[in-house]
Amino acid sequence: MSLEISPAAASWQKRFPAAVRLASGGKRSKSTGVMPSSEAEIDMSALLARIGRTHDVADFELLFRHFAPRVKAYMARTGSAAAAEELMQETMIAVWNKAGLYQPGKGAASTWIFTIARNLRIDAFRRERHPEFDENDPAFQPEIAPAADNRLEGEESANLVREGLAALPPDQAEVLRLAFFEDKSQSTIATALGLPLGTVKSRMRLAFAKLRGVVEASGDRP
Amino acid sequence: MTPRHHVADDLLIDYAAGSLAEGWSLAVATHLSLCPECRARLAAAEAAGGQLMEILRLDPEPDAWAAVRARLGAPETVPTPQPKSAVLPKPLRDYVGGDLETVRWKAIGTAGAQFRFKTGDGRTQVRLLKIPAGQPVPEHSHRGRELTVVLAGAFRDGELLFGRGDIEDADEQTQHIPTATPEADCICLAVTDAPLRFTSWLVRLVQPILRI
Repeated sequence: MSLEISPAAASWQKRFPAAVRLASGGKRSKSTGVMPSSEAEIDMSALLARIGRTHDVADFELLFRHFAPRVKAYMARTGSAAAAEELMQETMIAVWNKAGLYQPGKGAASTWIFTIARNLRIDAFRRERHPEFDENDPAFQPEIAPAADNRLEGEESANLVREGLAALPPDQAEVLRLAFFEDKSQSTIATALGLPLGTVKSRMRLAFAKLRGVVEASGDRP
Repeated sequence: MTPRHHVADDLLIDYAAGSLAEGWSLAVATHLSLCPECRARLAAAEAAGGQLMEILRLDPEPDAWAAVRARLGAPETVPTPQPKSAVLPKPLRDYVGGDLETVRWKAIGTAGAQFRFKTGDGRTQVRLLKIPAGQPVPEHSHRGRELTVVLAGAFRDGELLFGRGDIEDADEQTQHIPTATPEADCICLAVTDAPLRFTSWLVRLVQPILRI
């Protein structure tokens, strides 16, 4: 595992000129007018939303090359390499099939793909379901005062959360990482780290409060 | 009116991470269906999951794209059919098999009724409870944690009032006697830790013989 950007990414601009045009030129990026030269600069949320509209296979290949290694790494935390490879493929096929349901206003592509991968992992390794709310349910209680237009779209919220995660003290980041990757409940994490459950819970609560803080504070921006 | 009693951080994070057992997850999903505030909290937790996954990296098999490319079919966008109105939120209807009218209530004691159903976790006990107006919850003892989500009517527990969508989070130390308010029967989803089974020496003795 490394944080390096794939060397193959440099050649993408040539192979996927349409996708590069999607690259974020939003208010948070430095608008230099220079075309992005790596996958890291492509707005994956805009790309996924477009796949939902056009079902373009070349666009999907670009999305796949970014997310497939990450989804596989996520699955490999719980299962064998072979199981991880198969679950990665199932996840990416589900992403293709459901892309039309993705709404950038509800969160980043990485968040949406994570939830699909998570649900398949629960099904594969624990044979359990992950019950979820449905916005089209007649019993669903919508927001009373819908958020204003300054709601964060796709990559904007992802960038804030990424900055928030990077700013967490290591002990808080560690419990969060264990919770998300190791399929461990907080009591199991406490045992694994040799810490009292209360300590794990409070680290988790602090980490979560900070992440919510960065997301919610940004919602008030003009 | 939106709920005033919310899901605890530990449950919400475990639900977002996917490590929460199915029975507890059902209580959380039922509350989320009725609580915009907790859905915003969930969005933050899931965004953290997405970003943690974002910084992982492992090379997939070299031919993974070719394999997936070959498996791509026509995308599906079939919306699930929904009833016109419902008391039970969708996550619960999926288990019950329909709305309230499909619930096969069984009387408990002289007052009240319950409907038990199974989830895939084998670690929790899940049931719908009907508490008659003005009455306390019947047969109320549990070990470990108990989550109660109000679906119809309301109950009072000490100073606190729990209405539709509210979630009560109690442990075995909590001295609590939830009592339905006098206006209407109260219907709730109740999830507890599964009772310990096979504790008697006799059952342990026959277990290997019966292969259970």
